[in-house]
Amino acid sequence: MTAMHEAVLLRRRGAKAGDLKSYIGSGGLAALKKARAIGPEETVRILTDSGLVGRGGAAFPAGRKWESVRTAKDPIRYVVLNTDESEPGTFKDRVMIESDPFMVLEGLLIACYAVSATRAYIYVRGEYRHVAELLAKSLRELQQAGHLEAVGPNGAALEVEIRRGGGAYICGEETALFRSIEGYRGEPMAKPPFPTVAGLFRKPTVVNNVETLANVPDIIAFGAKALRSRGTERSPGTKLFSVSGSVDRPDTYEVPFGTRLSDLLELAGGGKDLQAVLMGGAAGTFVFPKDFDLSLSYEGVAERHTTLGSGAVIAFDRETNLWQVAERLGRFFAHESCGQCVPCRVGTRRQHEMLQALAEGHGRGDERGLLTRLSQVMTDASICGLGQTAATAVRSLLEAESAGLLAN
Amino acid sequence: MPEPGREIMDRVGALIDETGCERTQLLEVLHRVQAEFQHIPRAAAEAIEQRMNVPVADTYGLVTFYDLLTEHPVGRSVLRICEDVPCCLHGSDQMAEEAAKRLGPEGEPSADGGVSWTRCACLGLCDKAPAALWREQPLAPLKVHDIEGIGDSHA
Amino acid sequence: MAEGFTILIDGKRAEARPGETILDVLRREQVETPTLCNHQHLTPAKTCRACVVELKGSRPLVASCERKAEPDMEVRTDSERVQNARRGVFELLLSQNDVSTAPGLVSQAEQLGAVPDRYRGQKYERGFFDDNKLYVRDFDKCILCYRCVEACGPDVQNTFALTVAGRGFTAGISAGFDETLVDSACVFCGNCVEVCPTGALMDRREHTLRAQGRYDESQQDVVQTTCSYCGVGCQLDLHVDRRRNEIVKVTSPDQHPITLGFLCVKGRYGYSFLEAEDKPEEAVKGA
Repeated sequence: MTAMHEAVLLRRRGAKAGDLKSYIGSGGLAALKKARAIGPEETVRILTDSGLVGRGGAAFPAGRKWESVRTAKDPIRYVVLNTDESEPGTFKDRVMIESDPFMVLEGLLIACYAVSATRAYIYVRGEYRHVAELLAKSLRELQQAGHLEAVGPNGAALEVEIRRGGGAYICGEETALFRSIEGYRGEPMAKPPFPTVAGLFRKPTVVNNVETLANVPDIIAFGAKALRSRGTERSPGTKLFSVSGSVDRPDTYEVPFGTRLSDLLELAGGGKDLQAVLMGGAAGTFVFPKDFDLSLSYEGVAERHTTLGSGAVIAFDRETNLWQVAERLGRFFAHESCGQCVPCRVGTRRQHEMLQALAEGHGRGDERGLLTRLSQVMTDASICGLGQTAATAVRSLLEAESAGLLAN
Repeated sequence: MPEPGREIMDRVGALIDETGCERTQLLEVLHRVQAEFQHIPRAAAEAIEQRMNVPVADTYGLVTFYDLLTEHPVGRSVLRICEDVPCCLHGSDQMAEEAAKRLGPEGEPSADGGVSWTRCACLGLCDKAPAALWREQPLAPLKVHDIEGIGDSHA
Repeated sequence: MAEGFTILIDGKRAEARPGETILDVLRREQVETPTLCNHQHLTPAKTCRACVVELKGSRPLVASCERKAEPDMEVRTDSERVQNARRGVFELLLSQNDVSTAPGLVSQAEQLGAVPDRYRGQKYERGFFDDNKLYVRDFDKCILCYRCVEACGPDVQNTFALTVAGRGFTAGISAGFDETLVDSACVFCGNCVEVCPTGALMDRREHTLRAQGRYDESQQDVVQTTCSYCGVGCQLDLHVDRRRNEIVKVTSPDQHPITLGFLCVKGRYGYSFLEAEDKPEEAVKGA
């Protein structure tokens, strides 16, 4: 049986999206009210019990992040809403905000209340001007209606700042994001210290993805079980997937964790006669039809050595030359490398040069071996996630080629 | 008549008055300078040094780091054409060729300074590939017709 | 004084003190560790990745120059993974840079068994800049170790004339807006030259003599003196070519308590004023 597109996070998508009255009329802001009634400690406990993990790609338990900032010694703390959605093939955060900006903002307010944040920052990628404008308008409405009152520490009104990114994929990496807000080049810093200990302005900081915070209001309003009523034991809830490429209906789809990849592809009007999909965006891996039955859950993708990553699913038909796709991925990483460390700065360039040769069919014959060797160096020695994953897709393509899975 | 550098510095000073002069406002200040002058002139960096205590070299470091900031003037309106995988599958390379034909070399403003175009990384509009931004707003899916229209209005 | 503790290096116990980096411990234990960006008096830039080690509990390798030692850490330097990563770093640099004046880089690469032409591709071509009388900048030799930026900035000089500009492979050191150094905030202290590990930044006199095949360290004597320009008391090492009895370079010992190896424009380049007919400012500004 085909799984259904199950609108939970996206249930308000459509005509009344972004209307505060209808948001409140359909149960909105009840969770914030409840959080303030039960207090920060209980709020974080519910979140922890729900098993919610971050939807930005790293899948870190959200409750644990909140708890360490809530209990930090430093009275100055920040919450950052990471709206720097830039992973190629990923647009679900944009759709989430366009569909229901208030649910995302309510999640942010609850986070700020729960960790007693002195200030919240919303970092929106510079290319999402229309998204930033929508968030600003929605935030203004919340503020004018008095919903930011007493959300800040010691009963103060919460201050929220919206910051525009400058056009740099790396600024989605949390330490680079901090540098960018602070007024510097977005060069990642070493971890530890982790953001919950020393984050923005070196203060304890919660950084959450849009989809993560969108999950929060229902969890607080209806209890930890609300999330666990869908999905699998180890991956509770629903997940937003950005499906694009060779499908008839490219779009953002919300399905319960555990849905089969083939069913998701069918929802998007693809699935038959596909050569492969790229799971998780540029930093993800190629998956071939023999694995299309995989379960879209954290445990399901781990079993098949792939990743959910950012929730990007890019589909390729049998006409597509996957080495040309890899060339585009290589170009992306070479362009987006911040340039700080040698393995990434030089490695992404060398990788792209070799992928170009393979895509154009004039390689010297040793590229495959060199790419494999280089991928290990970049994965092991780069400072941050960009360099560490810049060769992941390429390596999966090399393996697939050896296994004879490519169509051309 | 005041020298042009002086005028720029005064104007940037006024922009800094709006944002505040803490370093954390630097990227926002630069966005506003870019919007007003279509690039970040050296005089702007000097004003920023005076008012925000950010070295000229540091400002340059940011300008060259962030794709949306430029050290050389671009058009008052910019067309950004995504070149990443989903858009590439839907013909973005042909769109870029079309743009080169009708709007001139990538990154260079038209004769009237009105428009320039550039390729860019994924815009998060992959459901409407091939995607573009025109005057900072989505223009997706981009069609040859759109590029023709832009070209005609800046002939 | 906080208590010391032990960590494990390649299975052997080693003493560490609070605040020390893993690299500090490796050096004391005489575990040979390649480094490029690391400099004893500068904040670890952790950018070159030559000193990476395997740390139990960490998925990626970590830069030993930057990671502080903690009790019971288990560090491996002898694994194939570490050796492969280090070799890779050097092979990538050898594929892009002119290393003709970087003997330290070359010898470390050889020790790791790096194959110089493993990777081919575009060279790092950022050009040669000759815009002042005191030093030249040959950016084809730059490995972007960030040392000069740190020395110019908060670590030493607080002049902030330099930045890393651009992104990715084309990133490079810059004084901003295509500036010549003379038009920039540069005060010509030469401390960037002092810390440059590859000869990308080089005193003009050394550069000229090298070009003429006349720069030969075996023919140089080091004469110690104290700088007489002010009352601070910086020790100067005058490097004198004994064949022509000519000063070819001025440095200061990196362990000297006052200088830590850093000088000002007068101490480092003041000797050329002896030979300049013009005013001191003219000597700096160039022809």
